[in-house]
Order: sequence, then C-alpha cells, then structure tokens
Amino acid sequence: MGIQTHFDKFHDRIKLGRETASYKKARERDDSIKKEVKSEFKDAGYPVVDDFIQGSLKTHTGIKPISRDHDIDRALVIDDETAPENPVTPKKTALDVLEDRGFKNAKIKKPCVTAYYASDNVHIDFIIYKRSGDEYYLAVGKKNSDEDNRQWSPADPHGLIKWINDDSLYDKEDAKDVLAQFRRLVRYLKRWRDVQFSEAVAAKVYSIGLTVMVKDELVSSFTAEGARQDLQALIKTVEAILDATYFDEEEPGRYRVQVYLPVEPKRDIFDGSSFDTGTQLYNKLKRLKEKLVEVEALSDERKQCEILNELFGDDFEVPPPNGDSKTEKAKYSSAGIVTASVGA
Amino acid sequence: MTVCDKVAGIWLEHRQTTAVADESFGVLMGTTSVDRREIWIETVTTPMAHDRRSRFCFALRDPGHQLAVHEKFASSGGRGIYLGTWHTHPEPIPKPSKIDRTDWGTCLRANRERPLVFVLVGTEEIRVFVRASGRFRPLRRE
Repeated sequence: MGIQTHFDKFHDRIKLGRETASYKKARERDDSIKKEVKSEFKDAGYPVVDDFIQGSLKTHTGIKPISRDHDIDRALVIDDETAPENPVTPKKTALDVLEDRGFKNAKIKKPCVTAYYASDNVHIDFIIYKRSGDEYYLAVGKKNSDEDNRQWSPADPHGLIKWINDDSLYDKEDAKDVLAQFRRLVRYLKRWRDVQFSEAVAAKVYSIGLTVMVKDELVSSFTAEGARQDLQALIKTVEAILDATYFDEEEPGRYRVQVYLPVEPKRDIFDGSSFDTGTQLYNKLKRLKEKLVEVEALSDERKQCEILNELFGDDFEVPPPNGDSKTEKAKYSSAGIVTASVGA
Repeated sequence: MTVCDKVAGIWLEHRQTTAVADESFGVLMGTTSVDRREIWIETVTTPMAHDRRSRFCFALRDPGHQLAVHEKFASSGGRGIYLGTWHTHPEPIPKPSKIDRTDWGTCLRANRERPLVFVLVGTEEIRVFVRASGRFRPLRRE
C-alpha cells in the first residue's frame, strides 16, 4: 500500500471543512449572534460594512479539534468615517450583546472579543476592523486600556489569507499539488502539536505561527511520476524550519521562537512568548524530525504506522497485522465449538 | 458477508414449503477477513442421523457436525472455522424465537471473539442475524 496511503487516511480524518457537521453547528451559532451584534453596531452609529471568516478555514488548513472547542474567527468591518475614535468602544458594544445573551464568560481581549458557547463547544472570536479605502485597522485594546494601550492598528487580514493561499512561487505545472501538500503538512503539524504538547502550551504554539513557518520553508516532495510523498516533504520541511532563523538559542539549550507576520503589521506572532514555549517547540520539532527519519528507514508498514501513531495520535491508524485486512483471510487457532444447538 | 451459491442452494432446497416438512438445520463454516468484518460462508452441514427434528423444533446432537468443522479447519490451513448455525422456519419472513435467541447466545459464549452469524431460512426470505449492542439484529442485504 505504501505509507502515503496511511498519511492520506490520516489527513481525511483530521481535516476540517465547511461541511464538517460539528463545524456547521458552530457556524449556525455564529450567524445568529453576528446578526445581533450587527444590529447593535448600526444603532450605535457605526454600521458593519463587511464581515468575513478569518483563519484556517479560508486557507484550507483547519483541523478537527481533539478536546478543544471549535474556533470561529469572525471579522466585522466598520467604516473609518463612522468608526469611533476609541477602538475599545465597538468592542464594548459587542461585549454588551454577548453579556445580554447570558454569556458570563464573554471577554474583551487585546485583539478581539471572545465568547464561549459551552453547550456547543464553540469558541467565537469577534475581530473588529475599521476600513479606509483598502486599508484595514484592527481594534486593539482591553476593556480598561488607557490611550497608550489602545489603538487602531494597521492590519491586512485579506493579505494574510492571500499570502497563505498563494502558489505563484511554485512551478506552474505542479503548483496545485505543491499547494495541497503545503496544506496537508500544516494540518499534520497542527495535530502533532495538539497531541504532543500539554493543553496550556499547545495554546501558545499558535497555528498561524506554524502555518507561516511551513509556508516559508516548504520543501515539497513527489516521486518522479508525481505521486505525493508527504513523509519526505515533512522531514525536509521540519529540517528547514529548524535550520531557519525562527529559533534563537539565547542561553544554552534555551530557545526563544520568533515568527514574523508576512503582512501588516508584520509583528512577531510569538511576541511575549516564554523560553519554555520556544524550547519545547524546538526540542519537540527536533524529535519529530528524528522519528520521521526513523520511519523513512523502516520497511514494515505496520511498524511505520506505530511510530506515526505515537507522533500524531490515534487518528493515524495502525493497520491490523498481516497486510490487507479486508480481503486477506484470518488464521485461527482453533476450529470453533459446535454446541448442542436447539431451535424452534 | 458473502454466501457461496452452493450454500444458498442448500438453504433453498430445505425451505419448509410443505405442510409436513420438518425443520432443517446445520452449522455454518467459512473464513473471515483479518479484521473480521468480512465473512464468507463457504459450506454448511445438513441434518444428520443422530439429530432430533420435527416440524417446529430441532436439536443438533450428531457429532458429525463438529467433525465437519474440524475437517474444514484442517483442510484450510486454520482459516476455515465454525461461523454459526442455520435452520428453517415454517413462516415466510422468519423471526427468531426466544429459544433461538437463547441458543445463539450459548453459541457465542462457546466461541468468544469469533464473528458468528445465525441464519433463518423462511419460506420466502432468508435472514442473517448478528448480535450487536446486546441484541440480535438482521443484516441488511447489500
């Protein structure tokens, strides 16, 4: 069968698409609350002129959460002309709507307003922008931030999505295949993170950080006939990530991770990230690479899958012994016992 | 699940379509896939001299059934095994009686970890039952 078949199955199991049932439910929740926020914004004098979904769904790099909730990043755009000077004002309006609906845990965070729907395991972030021509500004600031700590900060949400989906740097002939491999690698690494890190640390190994690193350092791999070789691509890409400039060994054995957004505001995605996060990410990526090299050297598919299962969790299935389980016949240790059956 | 034509022929032949016909029965033998989700019914036994049979009940007593199972096992390199029982019912769409269900439970207990199935041959329909979530349910035809 080849190891790629197992990667393909794994990918099918983890990938999150618009059609995934649990995600659809999350979207319904999102739609209903979005309507209310929009109506409040209108009443407050800064109507929403555009809204869109940000994040991994738009870049085809979403995965099903293991134990966490579905995340929806809902961007709301107001016009620069009507936008209040204080970026926290519309965030407070959004918060009021959420609180009125009984979400005790709704909260204003620095870049967004966040709400958690326990009943549906849905986590929605409202990200508020103002738009002036083609330029976007993100509403940054917490509930009680003073003037120095709040601002309309230049941002480029569409530019980021475009950058991630861009395939113009790949050879024209196989650009589509390379882009698809890039997306699969991002999904593999995101699931690997969810499996290998504690929940608290995993939450700090930001998906967008992983995505940017893979995009920048991608080494695609196909056979001469053009067949996918995700294992080889993953090894080479992780290797390239480790060799790039993301990890800074500030003290012996202690790493700081830095990944800059490729678009405005070009900030460090891991800004404020601890040694612990950087060091864990570096060491675990290194181990991942070593284990993958080990897998590549093995010829027994089942043994390969066992290691991959340990790295990526149970969605990477280990096939039952003896080849093709569906058509090959099982061998038994005994014939079976005929009981003195009766019937009527 | 796949049933050999030969086996289906035996079942059709033993249907209780006349008013006086006795119940027929036997054991199922065949092979399974490695994951045990696919099973192939390849041979069956039919009533033997030391079995008890009447129109409404039977008792599988002849040691010949177990012998047939051993032979199958030996000749198939350990792949052909006992896979359950079959018997006829004098009704168009056969339903398992309480006695049937109790008996099938006994068969399963004697052959743990084996994917046993139980076949009821009615006058119009042949139904295959498996135990799922603690109940015997008919398999749907594909």
